[in-house]
Amino acid sequence: MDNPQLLAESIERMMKYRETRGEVCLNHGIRTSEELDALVSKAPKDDDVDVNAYRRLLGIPTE
Amino acid sequence: MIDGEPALPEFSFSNDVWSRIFSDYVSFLWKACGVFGLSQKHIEYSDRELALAVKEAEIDIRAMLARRSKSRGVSHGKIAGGLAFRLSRFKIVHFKEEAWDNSHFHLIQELAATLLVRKLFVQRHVPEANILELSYQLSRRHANQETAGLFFDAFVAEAG
Repeated sequence: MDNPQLLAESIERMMKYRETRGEVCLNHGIRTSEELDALVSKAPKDDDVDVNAYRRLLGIPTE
Repeated sequence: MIDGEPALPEFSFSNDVWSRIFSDYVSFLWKACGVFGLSQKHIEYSDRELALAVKEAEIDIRAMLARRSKSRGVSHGKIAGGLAFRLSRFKIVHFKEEAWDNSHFHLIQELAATLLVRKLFVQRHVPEANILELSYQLSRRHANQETAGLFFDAFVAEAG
């Protein structure tokens, strides 16, 4: 969205609505930039993509 | 809130995360070329559009954080879905004429995006058929940030 102010106002209205409805999303996890940084730092460096598995599904000759 | 003006929560990708997104995106773009038998020389990508997509995903995540309680945050899957959506919508990948006859070239950008977020944020195996189906959904049908996020949430939950 080009206007962060409008977006923030929209969210504020929704939060007021939600106060009467309770939490909807049940999946949680990352709260801060630092927590996301820690998550990404644990991502494997190696590449585990099986090109031939995709090719078999698509009917493309395997390598 | 300052002076009566609501504000989104503070959140940004760190330099390390930016670096990882950029380097791994390019790796997965070339991997997607390999899957579909496209030569890398028939493809170009825009660093500027890639950066804009990542910046927009940051705003999406800030909005999702604002909608949730501070103590619980946003799921790994929703972050993956948000970035996958933006990486599929911005005009990052451009094809030269030689690529136009490839029957799968419309999936290249979306497959690269999906593989990237699975690796960085989901960190679980997602079956290839599901990766391809989400790529198709992002390319030709409709999925927004949070429905793509639900897709990844399901695999995180399944793995425990």
